[in-house]
Amino acid sequence: MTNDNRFPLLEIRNLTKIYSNIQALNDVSLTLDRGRIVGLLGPNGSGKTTLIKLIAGLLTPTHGDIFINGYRPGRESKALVSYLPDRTYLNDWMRVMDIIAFFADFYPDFSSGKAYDMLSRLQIDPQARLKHLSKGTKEKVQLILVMSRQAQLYLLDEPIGGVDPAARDYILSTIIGNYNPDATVIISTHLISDVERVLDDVVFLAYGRVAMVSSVDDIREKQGKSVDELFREVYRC
Amino acid sequence: MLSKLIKYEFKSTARIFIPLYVVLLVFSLVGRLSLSKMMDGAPINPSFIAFYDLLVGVVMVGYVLVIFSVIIIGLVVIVQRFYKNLTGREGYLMHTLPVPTHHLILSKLLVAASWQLVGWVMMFLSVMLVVYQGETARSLQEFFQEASNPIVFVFRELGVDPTGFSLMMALSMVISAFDGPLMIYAAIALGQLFKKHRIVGAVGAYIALAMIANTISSALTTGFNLTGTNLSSSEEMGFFLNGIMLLSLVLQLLMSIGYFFLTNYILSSHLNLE
Repeated sequence: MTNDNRFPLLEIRNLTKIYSNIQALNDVSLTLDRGRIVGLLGPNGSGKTTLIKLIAGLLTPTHGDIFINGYRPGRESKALVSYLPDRTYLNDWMRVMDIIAFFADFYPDFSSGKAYDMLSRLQIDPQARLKHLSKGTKEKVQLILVMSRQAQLYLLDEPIGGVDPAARDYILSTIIGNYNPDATVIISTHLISDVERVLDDVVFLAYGRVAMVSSVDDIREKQGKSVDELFREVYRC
Repeated sequence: MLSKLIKYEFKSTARIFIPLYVVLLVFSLVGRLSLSKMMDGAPINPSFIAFYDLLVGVVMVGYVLVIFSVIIIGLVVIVQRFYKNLTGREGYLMHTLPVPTHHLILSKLLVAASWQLVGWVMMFLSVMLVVYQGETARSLQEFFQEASNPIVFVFRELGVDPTGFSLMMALSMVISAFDGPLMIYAAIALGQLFKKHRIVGAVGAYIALAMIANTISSALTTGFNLTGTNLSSSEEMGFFLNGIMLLSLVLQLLMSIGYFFLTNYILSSHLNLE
């Protein structure tokens, strides 16, 4: 995949998304560079999933523009984006190995070797049928599929919500260890203390607006706080 | 990429259709065997007649049920594959693949239309398998031999070329195999434009599309009627029948193309997965 540095990896301009009567995102503008691990943080209903689905091309914006490496969400951008949804999209009747073959068929940047390696580390049987897997194991399989690609932009919506703490550690170390240094990872979560150590930047969302964008170093040095502490302060109920 | 999509679509539908057709064939064979004694006209041991009648009755009811299930399951699979795979949670996978939206729709359509055509052929073969034996086979043969001459004669009198007419019928079946699924796809896509109750929206859209199709086709037929054609001469009658046939084919084709572009427009420019 060529790396075109003329454009920022992700540029969002005046993005608004309205469902029925609810304004999920309100005039969001955001630019992200390559090679960053970004925490997309905010309480439930702040617009994290909506923002990620808009970037992935699963929702159509009400107003505003999104560019991924200069492309609007579409076929070209989808080749660059590796997306982990907040729900399971797996066909029940497939085996783990079938869905790996499916990914290898459609994504030129997918490495089956890497996927099988991660499956054996997490002790998941490639022969198992997806409908027989527990919810947490399905989430692990999906994360393995997503992290076995050499994408430019990873969109991980609640990647560690449903898995046990041991798997959580393994997954986080895979996220930092496995991806290409030019790629950017967006992780949405409210389990901040778990992911804090891997983040370079944070984007705080509140009521569909960007409340704050900062590097984690700045938060620690200038404010003398951890991201978790700052989050609790910003979103005090 | 389209060929890969077709491959996966075929795999996920074959696991339903192939067992379905195997069941159909098995039931056809059972039907043939249970009818064969009766059709041979061979004497049946009188003490078994009641039992034999019951058996044939049960097998025939089962056979009719299997034929109905083939038709209904075929339709349900067409709806489900599109609804679940492109607008349900599996859409999270399909719509993030690096493929254009029209390839997603085309792969579904080509596979659905192929199964429709295979299904019709299978049902025809199955009915022949059950009925075409013994006395019935002989009388069917006689019927066709006797009927073919008058039918050809009537066609000739009406100025309709029988070969051309059969070709148009075949073409019409092929177009229907595409038109049916496309109308369902368009209705599901229209249902997606609703914020809530999208299934209800899709059903409503299907009824609306069917009404529009009916109105257009009857308006055109009436219009054609009013062209001042005098149906008293066989030449004009033939022109009229050929014309109506051709007109409805072209109309069906145009509607199908319309459904395709409508579906593609909604799924590519107004996608909002729940």
